[in-house]
Amino acid sequence: MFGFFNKKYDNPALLEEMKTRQERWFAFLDKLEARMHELTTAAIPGLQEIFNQDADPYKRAHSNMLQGLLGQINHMRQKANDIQEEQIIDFVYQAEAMVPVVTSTVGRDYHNRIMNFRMACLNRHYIFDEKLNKCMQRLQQATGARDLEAAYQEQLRAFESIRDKFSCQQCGGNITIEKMFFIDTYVTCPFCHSQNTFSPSTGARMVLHDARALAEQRTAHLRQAYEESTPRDPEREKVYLRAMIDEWNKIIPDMAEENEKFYERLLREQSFHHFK
Amino acid sequence: MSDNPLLEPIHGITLEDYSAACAKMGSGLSEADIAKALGVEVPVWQEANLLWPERMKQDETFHIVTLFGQYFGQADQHPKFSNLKATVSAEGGANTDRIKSDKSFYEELEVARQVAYEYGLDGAQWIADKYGITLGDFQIAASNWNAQIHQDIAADFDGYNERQAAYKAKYQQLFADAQGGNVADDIEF
Repeated sequence: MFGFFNKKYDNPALLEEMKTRQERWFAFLDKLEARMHELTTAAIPGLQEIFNQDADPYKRAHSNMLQGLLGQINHMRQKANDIQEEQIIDFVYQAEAMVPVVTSTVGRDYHNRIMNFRMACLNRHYIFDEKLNKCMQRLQQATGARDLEAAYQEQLRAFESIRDKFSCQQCGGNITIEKMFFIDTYVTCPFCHSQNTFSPSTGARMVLHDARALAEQRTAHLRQAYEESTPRDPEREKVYLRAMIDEWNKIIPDMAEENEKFYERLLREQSFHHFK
Repeated sequence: MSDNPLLEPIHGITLEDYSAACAKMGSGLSEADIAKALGVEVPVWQEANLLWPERMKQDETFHIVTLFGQYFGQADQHPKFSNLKATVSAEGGANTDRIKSDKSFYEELEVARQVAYEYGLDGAQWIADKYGITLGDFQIAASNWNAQIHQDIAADFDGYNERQAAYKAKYQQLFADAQGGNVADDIEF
């Protein structure tokens, strides 16, 4: 009744500080965004070039370069997070402690202004984070997926061209390799019956390594159909898994028995996850 | 003898043999060295090397892979491999012994390795070049310290995180300096 709680509270210095701080925060994030955009755009041709030129089947040079770029982008994320914590969040707590309580009429206006400052800064940070994720995605997807089908077909052709060109180490008789092997394998000489060791090429060994990924590439449309079903349709998942295992078996027939055991496990897990 | 069929030896190669062999291959031994130590020929070893991971894939209880990790960490005690070591420098040998006996040293290098990757380096190779510690020995140390580190985290979560953050800052600085700084170092609030 004496108007104590409606007494005018005025703190122009705080308002000015919020205004300046918000502008600085926005400018800071603008600069980081410009830098990460510049870095990403400049790096993509180099990433693609290294990926295409790297003879290493594991593409380690490309992987190291990509990790380094992602590390720099993450460093920017960390820098923004640290500044947000120190210069925005801590400041908000200090400002809230400084102004009259929010339940009083005089404090409400200032608390609203602080809230608006806080939301504007956090929203700006959210946009920054979204842009940052897009940059990371651009870097990760710059080279696209490896064309495993082409590599596999190349190995099949290479095998066809060498399968008749071996001779027994014991008797010198001609040996035809009956099928493609992916690890060192004993091959019996048809003439003297001694055992020879056939050592596949690095490329042939990589077929074994990449077989599942190739099977997944071949059946990606079925996986997509399952993943896009709402709710996730277990029958579609079964169709995908069966087709993927079938393709895997076609690529490496010798592993079919093991793959089928793995398939059984996947089915049991699938039942469990869908039951949950 | 376990009645779990997934633990049956493959061509006479047990899971203990296989785990120790993997650790020793990571320490620089060749497939021929491994096969010789196990008393088999290379094709036999390669088939076992193909099939043991299949057993792990089939095992939905993760028992096989858990045992693999345990035996991997005990590779130095495996009778078939205990006297078999790849050639390393004296300094590399001393560092290899140290990482298996000094937890702080392991923790620091684990962080260094991760930070190296973030700076576009092959972290495992960086450890091998700088300290002479092979990937296999590093993984043996990781396996041996794993339980202890989990206990440390449970006992003092903040202390553990502080040590990790300090190591991280140290190696971020080191790698950034070596590369002329981070790309956004000049951008200030």
